[in-house]
Amino acid sequence: MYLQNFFFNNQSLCKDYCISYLLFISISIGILMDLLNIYRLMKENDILFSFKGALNQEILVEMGNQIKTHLSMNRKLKKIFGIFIELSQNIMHYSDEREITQNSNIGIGIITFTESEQEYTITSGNLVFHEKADDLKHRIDNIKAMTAAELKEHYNEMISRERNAESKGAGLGFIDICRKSEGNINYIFRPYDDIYTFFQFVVKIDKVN
Amino acid sequence: MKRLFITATKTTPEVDFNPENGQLKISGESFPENSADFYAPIIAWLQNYISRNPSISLTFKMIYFNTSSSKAILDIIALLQDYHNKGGVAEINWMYQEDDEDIMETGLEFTEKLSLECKLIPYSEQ
Repeated sequence: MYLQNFFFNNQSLCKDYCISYLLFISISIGILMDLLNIYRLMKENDILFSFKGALNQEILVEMGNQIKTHLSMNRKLKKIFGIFIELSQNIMHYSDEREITQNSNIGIGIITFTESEQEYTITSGNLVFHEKADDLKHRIDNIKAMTAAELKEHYNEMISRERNAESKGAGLGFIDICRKSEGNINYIFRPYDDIYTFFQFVVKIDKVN
Repeated sequence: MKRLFITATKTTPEVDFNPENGQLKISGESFPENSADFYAPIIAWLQNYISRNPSISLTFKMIYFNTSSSKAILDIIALLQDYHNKGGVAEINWMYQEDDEDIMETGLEFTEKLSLECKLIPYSEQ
């Protein structure tokens, strides 16, 4: 009986070891995802939380709650929350990579919330069709170059223009984000594949000022 | 005409429009997936109500709203201004938490060019 158990346990130990080894090989040669690397990358970048996937309203609400809880006593909470909602809904409405089911059509993207000693950073990323990238770039450059007074005027102009069109709010989000972050916005476009460009948008909110 | 009451959700405000006394109120947070869908019945109710020539006092007590909700809020404000232009009695109360500069400034921006009566009213947190 004892011997039988010993043999059996050893066999399962050997099996576990073999599986571990196979996993290690699979990760090394790129068949399996390297989660440790993703974890390390997120930790090193001070990411408090992140989401990648179809960004639906339920997920947005939950992440919004995380921000509210984390920054409950912070006077910049409402600005940060507002920026986060606009960026998330930008992905939801305008990402060109979409998850389409019978009763929903949701944009796919990635969003991260980062805290360092000096600042909070919200970064969003999603795929856009190559041919749309230039227009998007010009719109953001245009907004980024404006003074606070010009931004206010531009916002009012866009809002009255958009109220007449059946848009979900395209141009307004970036202007609002730019105003809330006092112009602290940046972006980068990078080629993804034959169809898509990866659009990364970064907003920083100073902790002190 | 029936009272319009919509319970607040995690992403939409409470709406309480009372046709008996003309007290209309929208309060809370507003960032629905589709603002146009959420506000369409509210705007339709208001248009119908205005056609009865009532005295309207509309109160906004918003905590947060996204940019697409702000379009709908401006549509509602424009309806009242239009009613006022045609001789209707209407006023807007824009309430903001006393330390909330963003909501206060937005209220100012939304109402500064109107000729109907608009009050910006601070309140302290409960």
